[in-house]
Amino acid sequence: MKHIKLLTGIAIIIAASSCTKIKDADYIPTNSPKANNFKEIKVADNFNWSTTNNIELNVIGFASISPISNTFIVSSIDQKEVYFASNTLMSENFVANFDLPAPVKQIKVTYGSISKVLDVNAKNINFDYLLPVVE
Amino acid sequence: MKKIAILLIITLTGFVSKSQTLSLNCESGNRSIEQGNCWAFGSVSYSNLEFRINGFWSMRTNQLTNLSTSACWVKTPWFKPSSGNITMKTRLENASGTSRGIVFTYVPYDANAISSTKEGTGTAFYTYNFATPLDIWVKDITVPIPSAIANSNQAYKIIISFIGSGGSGRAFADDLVIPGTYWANPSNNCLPQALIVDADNDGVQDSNDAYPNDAARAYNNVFPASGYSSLMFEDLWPTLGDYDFNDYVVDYKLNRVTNAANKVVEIKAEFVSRAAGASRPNGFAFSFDGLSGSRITSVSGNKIFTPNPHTFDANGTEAGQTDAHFVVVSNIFKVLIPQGGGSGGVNTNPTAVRVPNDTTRMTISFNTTTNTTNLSEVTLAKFNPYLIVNQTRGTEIHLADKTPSSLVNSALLGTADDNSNAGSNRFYKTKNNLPWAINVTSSIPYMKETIDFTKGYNNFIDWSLSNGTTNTDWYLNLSNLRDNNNLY
Repeated sequence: MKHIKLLTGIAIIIAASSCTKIKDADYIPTNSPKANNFKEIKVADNFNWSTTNNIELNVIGFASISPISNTFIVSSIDQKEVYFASNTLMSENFVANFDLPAPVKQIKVTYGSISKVLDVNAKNINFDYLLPVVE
Repeated sequence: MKKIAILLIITLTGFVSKSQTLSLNCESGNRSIEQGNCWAFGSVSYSNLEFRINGFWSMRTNQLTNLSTSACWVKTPWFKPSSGNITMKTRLENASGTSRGIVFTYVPYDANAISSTKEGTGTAFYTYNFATPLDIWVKDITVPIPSAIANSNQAYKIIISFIGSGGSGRAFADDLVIPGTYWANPSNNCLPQALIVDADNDGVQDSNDAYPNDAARAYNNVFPASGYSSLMFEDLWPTLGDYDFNDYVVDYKLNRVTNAANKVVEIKAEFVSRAAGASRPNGFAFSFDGLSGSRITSVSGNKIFTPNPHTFDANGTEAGQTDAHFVVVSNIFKVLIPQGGGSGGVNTNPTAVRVPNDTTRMTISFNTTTNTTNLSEVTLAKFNPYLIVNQTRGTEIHLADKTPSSLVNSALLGTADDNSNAGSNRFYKTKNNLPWAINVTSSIPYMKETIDFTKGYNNFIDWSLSNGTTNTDWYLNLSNLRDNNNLY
């Protein structure tokens, strides 16, 4: 019996000491008690209150046989909202930096007749001009 | 008509290639790359099998069991043929079969063709027949460019078709070289590099140019992409207010106009003052973090009233600042005039007289010759709008974690309910990280006087408690997201 008590005690001490203290700065209060008004809201230090996301679209240039220049457009899927437009060489590597409303999860990239729909699931996303081979 | 013709300066897209041959050696190992340059393939893949001809990759056809030229083929981009010989290496994968051959066909450009490719009727001009009995040795093929198309200055494609009967053997091909000038535009459906209209000759074709007759301007880069955004302030900082966020409500849109070199030429900014549920005469200004005043040549359209707590440099930016700061309205009560005299809330009490919105349209001109500005330097992420409280220049209220200006009274930071800490770039937040201002990417209704913001937007609390990961549409005009009884 004494043995069992000793082992139980050791187990409790090991379990307690293996817990890591959560730093305040890392605290994301997803399970916080629901606030009743604005003053009761408690959010993490890194919450920025913005309804937009700043996106960096890394464009990988394509070595066209002759230099091709056209307008690089980032828009909503229906192309009614344009988030970015610039005059670019097809061979140019560059970063398109633009602000996107947070609810927008897909964008359309258009370069003349070349068009792709991209998912927005991170701050940094990539684009290249290559399309699947059409037989 | 002549004048129109003169005005419409015609330029060539794609800028003419100086290359005098088309070549295909397959060493990319990826047909998508060649397709990107407007080559096309029909039942012909790339292969690095042992029967490849040269290098690491060659073309490999499907089984050659068909005498049709449309079964297995490679098609060039549009090009302008010159005189000389087409050369190519080829071999068969095995010696079985009755016959094997390669047919060369040229196709003219036909602007009236129904097909989107604008290919005219093809003319077969050469057939290479593998000698029988068939073997597997590499053949060097030389085919003269037909005199009918050589040096014609017209756009053509050449189709190289692999045909055969009997057996199931395939063919390999490699090191194709065709004399001529590449003339396709991958960004225009691979059609020939065409004459396009660029009236101001700035390098941006008129169909893409928002200012087709102004060489100094090319693109509008508007934020938000449609409509307006809303900024909403509490003005009792560093003390907590009632969180109705209506002490100043202003909608805005920023059009960052760029030129063909993608440099910012000007910002055309619109600020629509909608409400001032405050008791003090506040002012409103903004900056872009890190944007130096030396980038700016002029500022116009802002509304500065007397008495005026600001002084300005010659270019219209506020004096004494490290970054360029732009005062929009020096006294909001001069554009949203409290009814009944004196000061007091404007457009926050539904039973009071409604004051028309006031729109301030500013133009900020940028240096475009030296010390130029990229679009990435004037993004929303760097947009830093703020309230100047009660005509006291040093009392500023910014969005959470936005840096105060050089003219702020830094003694106020970190006092009362404010938990700013300049050393860690923490500004304008309470100890629970609550802000004194909110920036929403759409124009949204604001709260009636003294009603808590969360009573108008039903999912706001869930959005904030999730650290912005859920309910990102909390501000949209969708069913059950708003309580319109509490919104002005």
